Amino acid sequence: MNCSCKLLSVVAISTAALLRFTPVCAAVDASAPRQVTLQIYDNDLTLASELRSITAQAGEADIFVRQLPARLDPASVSVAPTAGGAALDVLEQRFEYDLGDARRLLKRYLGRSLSVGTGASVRDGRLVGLPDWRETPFPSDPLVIAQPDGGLVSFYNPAEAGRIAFPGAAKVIYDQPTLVWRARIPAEGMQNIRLGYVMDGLSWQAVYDVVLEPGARQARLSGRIGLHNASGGSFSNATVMLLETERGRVGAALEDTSESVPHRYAYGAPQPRDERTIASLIAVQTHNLNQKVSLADGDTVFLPLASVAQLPVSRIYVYDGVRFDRFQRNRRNDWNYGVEYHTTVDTYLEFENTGNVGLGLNLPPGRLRLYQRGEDDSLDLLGSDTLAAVENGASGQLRVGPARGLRGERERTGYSEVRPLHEYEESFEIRLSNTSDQDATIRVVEHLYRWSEFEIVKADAEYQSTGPQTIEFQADLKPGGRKAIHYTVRYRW
Amino acid sequence: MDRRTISHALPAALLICIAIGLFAAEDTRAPLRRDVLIGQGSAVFSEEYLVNFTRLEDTLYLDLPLEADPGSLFVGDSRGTIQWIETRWTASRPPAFDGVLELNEFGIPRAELAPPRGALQVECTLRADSTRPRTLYAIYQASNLSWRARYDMSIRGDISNQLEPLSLDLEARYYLSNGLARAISATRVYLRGPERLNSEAGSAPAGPGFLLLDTESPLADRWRPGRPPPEVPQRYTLSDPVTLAAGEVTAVRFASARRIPTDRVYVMNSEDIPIGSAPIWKPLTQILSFRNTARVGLGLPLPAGVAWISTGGSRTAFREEALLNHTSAGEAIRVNLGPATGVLGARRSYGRVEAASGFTEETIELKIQNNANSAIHVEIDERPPAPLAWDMVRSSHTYEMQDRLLHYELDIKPRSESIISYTIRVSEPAK
Repeated sequence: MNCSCKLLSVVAISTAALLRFTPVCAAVDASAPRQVTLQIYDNDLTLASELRSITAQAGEADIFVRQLPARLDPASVSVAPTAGGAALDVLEQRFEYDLGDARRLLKRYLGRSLSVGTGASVRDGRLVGLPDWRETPFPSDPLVIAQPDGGLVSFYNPAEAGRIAFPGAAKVIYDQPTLVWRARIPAEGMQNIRLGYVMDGLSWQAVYDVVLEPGARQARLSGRIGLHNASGGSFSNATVMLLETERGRVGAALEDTSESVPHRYAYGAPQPRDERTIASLIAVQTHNLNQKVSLADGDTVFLPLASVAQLPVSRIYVYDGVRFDRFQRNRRNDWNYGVEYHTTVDTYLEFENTGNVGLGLNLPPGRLRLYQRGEDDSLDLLGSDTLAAVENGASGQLRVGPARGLRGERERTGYSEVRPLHEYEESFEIRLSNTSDQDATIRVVEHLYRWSEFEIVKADAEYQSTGPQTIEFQADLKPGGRKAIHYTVRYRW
Repeated sequence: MDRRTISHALPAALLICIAIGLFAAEDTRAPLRRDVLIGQGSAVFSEEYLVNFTRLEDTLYLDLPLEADPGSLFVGDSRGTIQWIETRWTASRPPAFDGVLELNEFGIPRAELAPPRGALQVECTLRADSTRPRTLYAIYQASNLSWRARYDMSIRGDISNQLEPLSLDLEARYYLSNGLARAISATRVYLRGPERLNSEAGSAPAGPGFLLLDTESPLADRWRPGRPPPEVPQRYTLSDPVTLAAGEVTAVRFASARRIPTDRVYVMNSEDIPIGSAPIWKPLTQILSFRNTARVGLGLPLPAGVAWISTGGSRTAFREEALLNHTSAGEAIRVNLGPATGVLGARRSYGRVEAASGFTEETIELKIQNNANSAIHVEIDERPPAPLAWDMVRSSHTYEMQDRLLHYELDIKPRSESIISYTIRVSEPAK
């Protein structure tokens, strides 16, 4: 490279830099955000709204909006004037942040001078080739610098490069997420604007701890909202709204099962699709935090949701004994359908979500840990489960686990075709035993799974219908007691 | 400033410094007491702290392990007079960009490899109704802690000689594994574990003989190991405070007994013995059984664990490794010694016949041969060979039934054979 070429290139680069950092129109900084509102959805999306002010002359200007999250979605940015203000006309928008990853930082220095290497092997030069080192062990693109003498040096091995110094970085790079607007400002003076955008990385979760006191008639409930900020930005004194959506609930439900994703039809779609993509993003429940929240990048903050020192709880035992094997499903006239059973009687705790007991608010779904406090004040973790959303006024149920000393057996004692392919009758015996040292009332849940048209033709115990194709018996068992329940169901189709 | 003033000022300054030091030391308070409940892979910490509440709103600074789960921490007092306001886990901030990018050998910036993560320091803001010191509890869960139990058993006496009485020495230890990057001192340690160890977890269904089964066929379910029923976890208490070193396994002895008298029991399990029209003789399983009572030096809940069984008073020969299930105080502990010598069993079916009552019936015979020179006690767990519904019609011996499994017990004289015969009524689909 001869002298004139070098001079030309230096002039070109300097001109480019001047064009970018010495704009033809005025450069204006927007103020720090105020009145920040965060609507945090349960599927990793957050809608942010903040008030900013801009002081500038009327006419075109470059406006720099800083103090933004790195995970902002530039396509979602909206600007609106506050009441009575004139509209800011954004002609062009860029979202700049050079410290997000190394490649972007290097790209900013393409054509600029930098130093590569460590110790005595430092090479200075102009960056002319961007590396793609991540394709190890055979990187296709090396880092290439053009040295002042015109020679090119390629770094195929990142270990050789080791250390890259970016001279004058403070003036060249965007070291924080910045929105750059070329805008037309309608009037001189200070204007307030309402900035809205969508971002990733802010999430919330509800967490509950229930400590059962000895005797298990009362429990201490502590509900918390946890906010985690991985958005790459910080927020100060923000008003926070938490939103539950159908999509979030579907996603959360699927996390707990190993089953494949259910499919369903969307209106007008010819084929059923993944339920998570069809479920709506409309909020089904909103929770407003009643305090302002400051969240620095990377912070996790837990705030109170509900706290009751003496929550009355009742313990219920449920035997729902039927078990289906892998190969007999929905075959209403299969002789073997539903003849398998398990013997576990489950323990549930039930509480009322009312103002009388110190609650009376919509409890969002969340992770629940159940502890038992012992007579010696020690603490035992009984288990962890997901508490389904409990609406104000409803009752919540917590599954504790298998009941010690309670056992059920469910045997099919008869099966007959009353009218082949149209009418079938099936009889069951449910045997319950209590080897614990306490009285127990067991709710026996029976699902009439063969068909929706059924009739209980015989039963030697009282029962009630508790849902579609579901009946429930109750059996009181003394310590050491045994009891059997018999019933016959007739299906017609 | 004169010398006298300085002589007065120096102690005062010293006192102020000490006071500041004390105050600063209180920022991260050590717990007054710590209980730990260790499970398999995680633990629940229950700690007590003294908070002075010199003003109505105070902050409790906790120094928690990196492995603590932020969502699990909750703080309060036993009387419910403290209002918890906020808990903040502050992340460490990455250093500001100074114009230099340090790369690793893969070209990845070093800062990217060490992303900021939650610091150890946690701040809990609390509000009280009056200014006085209070004892608060903090409960949280952390991963990387686990435990297991191991038993060393040594059998005294000749196992093969039926006439020789056997006794057993037992030593049991907990192995507590602390995978945290810090040591743990706990006033009380509790352990939580399963009732039984599942040795067959993840094993593929085993087909009978040379028959290879498609695991996705309905037939395969016949040989697929059944899913174990859900368990009620058991809890064990260590008698003394324990300190667990960081990243190490600590062994704690919890039971030791010598010369425990044991009984031999022979078990015939229908799962192990094929059934057909002609008897196929198979050896019964020999079990050593002894009671977990204080009289023999035990009498405490024993957790499920691996037992190393050797023979001879000084553990001269290693015999086998066995799995022990949880044993409550007073219950029998059973040690499986494998196939017995000279005690055989067979099952025979006489086929299904149309009985006079109009039902289909099947008679099964269980034969047990005792070729030893002494009487033996046999337990039989028999599942009738009817995959469909069945009812017992008659049985030559009394039995107990649980989960459709028949349980017989009988004593067999030396060099003799016993036969159990039972008839079941088999339900078949209506035609």
